[in-house]
Amino acid sequence: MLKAIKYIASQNLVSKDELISAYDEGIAGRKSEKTSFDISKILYFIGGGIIILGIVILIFTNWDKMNDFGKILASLGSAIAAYVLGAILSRYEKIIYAAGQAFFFISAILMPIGFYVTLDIAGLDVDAAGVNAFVSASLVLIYAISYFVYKTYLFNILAIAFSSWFYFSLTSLIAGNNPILDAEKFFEYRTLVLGFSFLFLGYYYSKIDKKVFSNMLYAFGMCGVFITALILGGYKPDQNMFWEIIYPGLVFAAIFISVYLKNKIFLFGGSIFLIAYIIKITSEYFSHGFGWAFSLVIAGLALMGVGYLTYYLHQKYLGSSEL
Amino acid sequence: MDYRKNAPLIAAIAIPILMIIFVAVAIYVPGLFKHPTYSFLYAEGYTSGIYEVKNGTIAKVEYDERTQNYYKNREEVKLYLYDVAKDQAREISLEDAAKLSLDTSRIALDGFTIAQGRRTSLFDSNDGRNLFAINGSVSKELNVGIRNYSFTFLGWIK
Repeated sequence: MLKAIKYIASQNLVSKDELISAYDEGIAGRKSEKTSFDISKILYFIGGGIIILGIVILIFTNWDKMNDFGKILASLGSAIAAYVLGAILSRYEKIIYAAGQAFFFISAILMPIGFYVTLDIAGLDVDAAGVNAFVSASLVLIYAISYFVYKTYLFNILAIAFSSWFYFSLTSLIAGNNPILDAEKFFEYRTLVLGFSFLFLGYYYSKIDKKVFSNMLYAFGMCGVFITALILGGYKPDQNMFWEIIYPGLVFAAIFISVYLKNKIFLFGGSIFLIAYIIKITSEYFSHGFGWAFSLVIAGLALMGVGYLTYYLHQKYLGSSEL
Repeated sequence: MDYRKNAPLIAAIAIPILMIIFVAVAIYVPGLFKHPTYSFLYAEGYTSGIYEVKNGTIAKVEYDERTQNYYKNREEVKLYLYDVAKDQAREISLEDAAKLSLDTSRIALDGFTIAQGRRTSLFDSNDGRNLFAINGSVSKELNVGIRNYSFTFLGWIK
């Protein structure tokens, strides 16, 4: 192509300005096509959300009028129909392919509802951990297989979401309502562990150049780790010194990782959770001794310090990174 | 397989699996080496105002007519004997229960105590239908189902 341009230019068949103008028009056309494609995708998913809402309202308002078969058909049947439609539309390209993704999304929301309705009609206790583990395991299987068949990242997200649910329901099934476990602490430790798992998964996706997906997992992972670590630290007089002491270490590790990975999610996440920690510790330990007014001054100075550190690290190490 | 490239993926999958194994080991392994040795008497329903254990023997509470009328509309209370050797409970009559010698301490001589399971959802936690024998970090689920969630421990069988 470039050789052809060189030849045309050598023959004075086209001027430099004409070439640049043609190039700019081409770029503008591609951008406008991409923009309209993005808008279509957004509209597909909004439409999908409205369809889900409609089906849920239809089921709930007519619940008493429907027989068992009707209930299963309206919930699980709709989910399967949406999945099949998604599979058919995904065979096409671009705009129609995106509509297929929207139908897969509808199916993913309706599928758990369908499972629960069917199992409830079958006479099972749908609140039981065993039923939750069965439903979530089935969904993991469905969407993991779907990912390997269709290679679309929507299924990857769904498989991760349902795997997380399966992890919670399986550990609940194993714990079996055991009263020696503090239910809140059990939930917090499980969330903390899942958060670390998400961080590793995010790192894996960053290595295979799926940056958006990777950053999404980093954000969820950081929330899982830092929010639960903050809660596990407790509050005076029931504080847990281990978590209160280790927390700043975790935050600075996140900030260090942000520099190592050149990733802004770790830097901003670490800074936000450091600010949360400073506010918590100030109100917990200093508000009584120094009084609230002086504590606010200390907290304010500390927050300014965090702000400057974040700005400095961003400018020095991450200025050119995409995210 | 490129293990170096896939190491984060392996870690991401291994971490929750290790947590699941840890939970299973922490809950089931201690119970393999320590077992409750005392049978006990319990009631389904709240016994307050209906039965009382005095000097190690269960008896019906005797009230005046007005108080009897107050309690008479309450849910029926059933007595059960949990047999630790068979790991099962059977309903017994008040007459049979009255022949048993009971120790009303919450903790038996072998260190076990009885607690109801917890039904935990995301936002709250309530008494469950299952019972556990607990001794420190050891917990053993008993083969007992509390139908109406209300359980009253009455005493260990001496």
